[in-house]
Amino acid sequence: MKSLPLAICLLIAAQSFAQNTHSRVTNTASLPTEVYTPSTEKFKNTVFDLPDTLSKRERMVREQYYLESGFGIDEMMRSGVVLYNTEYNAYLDKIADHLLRDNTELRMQLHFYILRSPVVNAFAGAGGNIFISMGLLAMLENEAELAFVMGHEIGHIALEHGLEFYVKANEIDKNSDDNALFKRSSSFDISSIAKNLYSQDLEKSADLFGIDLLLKSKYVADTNTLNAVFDVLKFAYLPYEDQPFPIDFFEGPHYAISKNLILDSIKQISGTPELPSKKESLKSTHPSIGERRKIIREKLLEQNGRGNQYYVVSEASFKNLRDDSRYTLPMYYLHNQFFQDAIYLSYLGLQRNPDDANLKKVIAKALTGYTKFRNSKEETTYAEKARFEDYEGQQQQLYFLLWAMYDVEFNVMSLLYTFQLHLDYPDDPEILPLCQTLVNDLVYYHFNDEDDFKIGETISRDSLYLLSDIANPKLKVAPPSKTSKVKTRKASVRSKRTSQEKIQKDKYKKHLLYAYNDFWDNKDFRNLWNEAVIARDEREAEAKELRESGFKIKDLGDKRNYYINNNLDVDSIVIVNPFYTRIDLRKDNAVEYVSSEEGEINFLEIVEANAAKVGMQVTIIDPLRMDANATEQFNDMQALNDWFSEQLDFGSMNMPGYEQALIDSLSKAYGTPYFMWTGIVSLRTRQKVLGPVLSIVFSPVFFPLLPYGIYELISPEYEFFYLSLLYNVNTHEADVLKFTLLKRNDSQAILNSHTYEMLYRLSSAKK
Amino acid sequence: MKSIFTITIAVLLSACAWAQPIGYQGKTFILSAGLGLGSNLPYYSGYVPFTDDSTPPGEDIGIVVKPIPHVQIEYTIFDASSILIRWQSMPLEVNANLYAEDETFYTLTRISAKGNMFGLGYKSYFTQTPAPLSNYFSIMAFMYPSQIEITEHPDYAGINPFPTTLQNTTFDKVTNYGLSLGFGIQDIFFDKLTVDYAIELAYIFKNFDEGTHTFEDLHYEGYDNPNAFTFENARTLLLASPMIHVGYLLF
Repeated sequence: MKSLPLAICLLIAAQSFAQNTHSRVTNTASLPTEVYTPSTEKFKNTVFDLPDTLSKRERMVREQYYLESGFGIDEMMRSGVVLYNTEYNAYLDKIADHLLRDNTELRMQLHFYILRSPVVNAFAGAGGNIFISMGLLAMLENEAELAFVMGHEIGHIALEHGLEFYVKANEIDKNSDDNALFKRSSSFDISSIAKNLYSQDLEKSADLFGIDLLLKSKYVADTNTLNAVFDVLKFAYLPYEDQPFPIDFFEGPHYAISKNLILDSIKQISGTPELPSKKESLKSTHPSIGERRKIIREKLLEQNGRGNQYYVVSEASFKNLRDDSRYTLPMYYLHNQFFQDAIYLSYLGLQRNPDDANLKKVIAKALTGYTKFRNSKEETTYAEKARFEDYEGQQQQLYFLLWAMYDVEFNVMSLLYTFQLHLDYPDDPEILPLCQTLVNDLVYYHFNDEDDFKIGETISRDSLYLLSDIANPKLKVAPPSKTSKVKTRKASVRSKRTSQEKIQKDKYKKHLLYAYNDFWDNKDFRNLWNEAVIARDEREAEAKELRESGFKIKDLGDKRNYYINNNLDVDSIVIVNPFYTRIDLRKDNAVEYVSSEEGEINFLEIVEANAAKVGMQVTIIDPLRMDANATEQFNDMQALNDWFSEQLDFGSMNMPGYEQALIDSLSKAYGTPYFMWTGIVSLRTRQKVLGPVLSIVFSPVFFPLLPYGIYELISPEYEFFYLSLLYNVNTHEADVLKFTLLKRNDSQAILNSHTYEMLYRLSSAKK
Repeated sequence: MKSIFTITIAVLLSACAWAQPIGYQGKTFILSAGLGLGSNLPYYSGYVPFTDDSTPPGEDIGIVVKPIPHVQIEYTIFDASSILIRWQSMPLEVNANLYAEDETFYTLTRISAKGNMFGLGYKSYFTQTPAPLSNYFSIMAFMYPSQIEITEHPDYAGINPFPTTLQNTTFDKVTNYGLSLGFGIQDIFFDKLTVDYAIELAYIFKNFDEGTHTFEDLHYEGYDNPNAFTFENARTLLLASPMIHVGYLLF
């Protein structure tokens, strides 16, 4: 459904979602060779097979295509976002077998993978690799729709659209550059439009290829079925279902949510325009949905399909795949801090499985995460995602509810839901730590003492509602007009909420003081509260000490480019999925893929050699070090990538990961709590000319400028960036941050020196 | 100057006591040999008349550049610093105004100083790479015990102001002190070999203690009219001397 440009975009997007995982869906069979075979080796084989009849330029463009596409795809396949050899993959293979039963040669070239991503997308890449996201699978209604999606992507591979588009785009860029010498009007926009128009042609032909496959198959190929696929595209920004969200979902026996938090009207679902304006359509790499419907309709008028089945392979397998996709989506959203989406999709899941503990835990985790972000005032980025005005359909109510609540009420409500979950599932080890996090925040940010609560007092439901309504007088916020400026709107709303919160702080809490009246006698709740009071006192004492000592950060000693907790006791670390990228900014194709992979392999050896010198045990989890039997380690890497991604989002909030229990078990398995994310980016930058030339020109005035100028003129310009982040996964604290930026190249000596230094500091930081 | 030199040694040795260097993969000791180019100031003066306005103008002796060999030991003491002990053979040319007491004549005479320079220095590595692999600034205090001799006497219009008997006269041994500032880049190859490219600015201070010599110092017995001379310009600035050291990481 997507061609190369979007494939590249998705590749980038996939990197941001590369940290997605769900413990429920992991790789179980052996890893495919594509994962652990070096990309350079694959690239050399591909280039070797290119025909000799190609001109030098044609060969060069093709090589560059296979280089960029191959390495990009491999990077994604190694990131942990792709599922291999599962029953789902086998199911897709069977559909492909049926679609291509008359074309075994093409079938042999194809590999189908599932992307663990909530993005609604599918795309084809170099090497016959086709990726379908779980976000898309969750939206489909039957196997025939899935078959059409696969047929479209097979079309891209069969017709070599990836290469064709790359060659064409290259020509357009070249012509654009040539013309630009004479015509200022030959701008980037014109070349972009030319590329988009070409891409739209390719998409149309892929659509026709897909419908051809479907017409020859046993699948039903009628307008309704195919329109349903385009409906998926049209409503891709919505959840797979549109169900009302009742605000009393979060209420308790002694806690009521103000009715003012019910939206007067829900924004109607509009969908992506079927036929956008010409200007808009020129900006898109794909034809408009209306145009695609028309093409399909015309094709179906010409030719009737042979099949009439919605399911050829297995209805059960399809529903299993789709339902599992739907089931795992909330966790994917949660990993990326899309709290509202995680809660709403979990709520939808609970409508089907009301007793599902995992979905309830996802809600509790989302509430905990969002509470932490709100209390820490680090929610700005996430508040962007929570702008209820931008959402359509019934989900808007949830967005409004979570947006409009004051932080204190949100904290109280989250704890109420989560502790009730603990009472429902007392043996679940993940829930009580969430409760502790929420109580800690409640005590630290909002309530000084348990005496603030009306323990043991009773209040009628009506009175609770009355109090909650009084406490929320401003919540009827009219959705701002589309023409108003976003920044102004945000600032005013935020300012209004903050000022009112200050004025009505005590008044505002009144309806919350009865919320835990069923919990105070519970031993666990008491323990949580007492622990939180101790934690708060310690934290305040530390803060006071810091204020008096004048240091902002106590435990982190700034040693040049290091921040190290001096109380480490490190003799073993695990390095997870290190990265190494070489970029030459002087070239149009700046990323040096082959050199980067060589650099990564060399870097891993350097890490091991220096660890041996320091006397530290280092375990490296990297796909380039894996083999077919390393499935378990690959799954570990996926989980750890998720965890690191979350912690980077959490910053200094000291928040456990959303799958902390899994990470704790990995810590035990690897025999150390210290896990590191590290990597290097090496840049060759453009040569500076002006400064050195001026130095030489003025050297008669000041002699030393001459050697300086000559040196600067002839010496290459480099930049070298080395990042290392060491976490104690048990305490979820970043104990070490190394952040080095040098004007040097990544020579062996520089790598050795920095790696040795980092490991030495870790090993010598013992008590 | 002697006291500064002594204090510098004391400070650096004290620093070694607290040293917890990381070095290059744990190695902190480099033995290196190098070559630098030494030069003096472009000097335009030579002789300045006190009384005779008709005296011809001075002589520009230009820049004198000479290769100077070094041997050096570098010991990394902290993450970003190291100390140096350097020996270098250092023939210098200095310019002196010799004048007679009756001020009837004086002229530029070039004298050379031969000796060995001993330096004690400190390198401060200023990039984030641990010493001794990085860009650095250096400061070095050095002492230069030298033997000075007159090597060149201008002869104007057949009049040589110096008696022939003075021409091969040697002076007493004089110790000068100096300071150099440097900027360099030290790189490491094959985990063993160090290469250090640097530019140094050095300044030899005028020797105030022994700057004035009487003709008794010259042990001249047969000429008693000009009976004293002073090193008026016995200081040498080594301008932007490029240097290269090749060393070995010992341990």
